[in-house]
Amino acid sequence: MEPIIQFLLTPAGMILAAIVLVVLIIGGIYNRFVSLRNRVEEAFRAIDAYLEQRFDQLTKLADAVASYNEHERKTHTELAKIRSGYRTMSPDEKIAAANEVEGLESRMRVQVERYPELKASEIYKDLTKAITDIEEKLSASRRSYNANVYKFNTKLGQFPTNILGSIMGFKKAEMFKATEEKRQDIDLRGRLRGE
Amino acid sequence: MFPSFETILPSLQPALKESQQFRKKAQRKLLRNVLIGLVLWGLFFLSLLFNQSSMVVGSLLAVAFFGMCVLLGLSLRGVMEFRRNYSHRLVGGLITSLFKNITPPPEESDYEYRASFQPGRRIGSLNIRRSKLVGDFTHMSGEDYTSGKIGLTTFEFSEIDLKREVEYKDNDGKKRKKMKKVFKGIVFIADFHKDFRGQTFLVRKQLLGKDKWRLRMDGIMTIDMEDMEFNKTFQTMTTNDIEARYILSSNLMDKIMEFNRRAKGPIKIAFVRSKMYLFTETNKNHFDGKFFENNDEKTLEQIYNDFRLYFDIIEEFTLNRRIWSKK
Repeated sequence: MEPIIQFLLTPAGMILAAIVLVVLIIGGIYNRFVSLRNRVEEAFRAIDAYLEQRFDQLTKLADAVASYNEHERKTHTELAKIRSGYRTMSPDEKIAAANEVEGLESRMRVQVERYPELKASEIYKDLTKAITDIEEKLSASRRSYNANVYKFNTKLGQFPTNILGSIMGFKKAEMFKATEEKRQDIDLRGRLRGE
Repeated sequence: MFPSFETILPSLQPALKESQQFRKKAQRKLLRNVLIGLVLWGLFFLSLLFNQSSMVVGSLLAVAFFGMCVLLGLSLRGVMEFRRNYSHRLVGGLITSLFKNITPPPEESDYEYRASFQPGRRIGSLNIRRSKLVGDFTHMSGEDYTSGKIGLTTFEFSEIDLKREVEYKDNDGKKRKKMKKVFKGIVFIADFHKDFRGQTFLVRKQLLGKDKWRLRMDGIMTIDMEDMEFNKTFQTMTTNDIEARYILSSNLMDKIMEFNRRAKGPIKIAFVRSKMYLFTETNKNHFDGKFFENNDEKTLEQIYNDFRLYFDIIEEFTLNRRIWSKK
């Protein structure tokens, strides 16, 4: 132990110790960036997985509606079409598809109102619970994604991690934002309330 | 939903009167025993003053000493009998009355309302360890176990005292043992309204917090929630970031903060295997009668408020809202 301490007190030893310390700090920062990026990717994959699960449940719901009236099968067909191509879509196409599915879901809710026996059935109740569950998990995935993107982007923006981050090739990620249609919806509700 | 204290008080009056009589009887016995004790010790000191023979003095000392032990034992028995009667008749009666007079919400035919109070029982050690909210412990005691169902949610809670035996060296270098406090307070466990596989913990936000470091050593990561006030009070730790946010909706975080303001001590919460474990640290004896205070009605009202603090968790945290897929 003593020879090591004696060596570290020499100029060569001090330089070596400084190099080791710098390497450890850079390594730590790199690992932190990688950890945050992995969490962002994990959340993005979860969003994808829950969107697929939502498709499946909505297709089952559309099937249940169509079983009461064959004329209502159009929604089921449209959902199936989106679902079959979903995995090969680009991220922008996936977002557009997800928005289209939300529109179809609203239409289905209206259709269900016409069939009180369906609404009272156990199948409908179970499907609604499953869909609500997936929506909640989807929301949690988006929150996780945004929280980790925020941390990641903050680290990329702060000194001195911004310098090291850009040298290491990390780039800022985009957060999830509400669509324009949803923002307009909220304004209308606010006006109806007299706000 | 639950009746007010004023509503159920009339049904508890007979038990209140009985408890007051029990106390008066026990207090009279205690006073009598103290006086007898003083007389015995008085005789001993008098014998010393008037220089009686050593045999007489020795006998009087023995009588005074053993008499004091016997009288102390009898007095304690009286106090224990009062407490036992208070717990069974009054506190048990309070719970029965509370649940008998519940106003259930309309159109909820599958809701159940029942509870039982067992003063000599406590929550099992397996449940405590499962929560992972406390470190290792070697000794466990507790009392005032309450369990039942409110709506669709089963629950249980009790007072718990956890200690750990530690070894240390005294000034002479000899190894000795002492008991170190791990946790003392109330543990509340309820069935959560969502299914989840991972583990999520809310521990106090402290730089050198023992809970945070202990959980970190188990590989549990820290995350920040979106609510700044929440993040200032609690450190959220979890095995799964997404699942933690699935459990902790913004509405639930608000409710937890409200409960934290009303609780009688610092709280910490675990969400493990689809159950919620809520630990409140407190040194107070919450559900017992007070032997030396004559205002039983006021004591009972405090006990009522303490029970309501925990029973209301189920409604406040909307644990009966089962709109998700819960097996």
